[in-house]
Amino acid sequence: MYKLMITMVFVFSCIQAEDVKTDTLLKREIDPKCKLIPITNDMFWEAGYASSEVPDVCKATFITSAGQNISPMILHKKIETYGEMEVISFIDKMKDDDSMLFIDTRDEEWYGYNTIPGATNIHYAYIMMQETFPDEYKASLKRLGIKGTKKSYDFSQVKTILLFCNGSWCSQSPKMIKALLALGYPPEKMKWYRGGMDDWLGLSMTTTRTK
Amino acid sequence: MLKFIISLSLLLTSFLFAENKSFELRGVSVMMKDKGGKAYEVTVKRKIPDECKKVLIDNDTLWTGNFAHKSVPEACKSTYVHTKGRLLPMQLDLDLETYGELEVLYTLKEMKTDPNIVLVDARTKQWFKYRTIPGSINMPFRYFKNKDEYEFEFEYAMKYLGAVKDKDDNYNFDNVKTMVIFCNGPWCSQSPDMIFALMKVGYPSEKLKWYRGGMQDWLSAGMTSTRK
Repeated sequence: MYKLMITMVFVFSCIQAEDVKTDTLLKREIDPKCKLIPITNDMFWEAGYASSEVPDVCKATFITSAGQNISPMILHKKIETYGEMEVISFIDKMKDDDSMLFIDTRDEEWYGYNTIPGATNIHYAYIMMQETFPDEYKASLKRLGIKGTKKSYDFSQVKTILLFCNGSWCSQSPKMIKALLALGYPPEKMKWYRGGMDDWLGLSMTTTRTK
Repeated sequence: MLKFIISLSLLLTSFLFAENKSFELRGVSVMMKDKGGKAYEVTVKRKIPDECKKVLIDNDTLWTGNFAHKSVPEACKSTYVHTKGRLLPMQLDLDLETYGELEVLYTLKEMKTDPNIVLVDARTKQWFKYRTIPGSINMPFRYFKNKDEYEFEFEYAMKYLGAVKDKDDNYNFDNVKTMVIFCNGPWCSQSPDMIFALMKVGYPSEKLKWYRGGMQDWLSAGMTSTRK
């Protein structure tokens, strides 16, 4: 188990995003300055948490009060919740497997601002509010591999999808999952990265925006 | 007509539920002891200061520069060291459940009536004393990982957890407590080390739960901790 965990961390993956032609090395980015910080209470958990002595490149600031609710760890007993290592491994496998899709469920503006390399964008509202977004809804179903018409959808060739949004307080990916379940999307073909952008950046992982 | 009444009553109940604050905002009360041994009550919940309710949720406020925008009041954000430790999987073992913030809150609630559940801070004593989740107890991971060095502490912990030794010196785990174990964050390997050590001695994995997010995720959700 340990071995697996250690090797997984070193699976840095070169991914090719749909519309970005450059390779991105996906990894944990640790500035040399950060290696010198001792792991002590003062450094980690002072007043606003990280000490002012910690260089800016070694820390990140997050909003603690966002979102209506915090999501549970498990949304559905057949839907696996993923962590960062599972996300990396998903992105890695996706390179050679067309039946996998990594989805940022936030809207286009958010997706364009900063996202996880390799992610494609399907806004949760396109699935949840099909009457408001009929064209986007149709196009999204097609991208997910859902065949057939409204009367009877065919889920036999759907993609294995991994969804995320801003963090454990963000309800967009859970809403999209619920909407897909309601349509009949097989739960075992859905994975959820609950930690989202917050946890991804909280571990200093690569994103599309370069600071 | 009947349909109308049903839908109306559904609508009304949903309004009632909307009035009802969600679990993490209501929170759970936990009894604590101060230095003099005097008991006091702490409500463990998600704290959202009023000034934070006005903060707009958009890209600039959430993700500029070092992430949260400088216009976001200090009370609504916190800063973490994000370059330490290593990545850990979502699940440590097939039979081992990973908990999130809501599940930890439920644990605190259940603990009030069920003495067989404990929330355990796996870090060393000085970390536990500095800042922890109210209601947790401290069992440093080293007592389990290096149990030969900490023979006394290990035996004492096993006794506390309800593992009984038979005459051949083997542990019986039939009546052990359920433990929810955490440390500094999803990059901290102390709680996994403790869990692996416990599984190695035969502690049943269904009685071990891992709060992977630890202090970092707890605080980043704005949850109550022991330090102001």
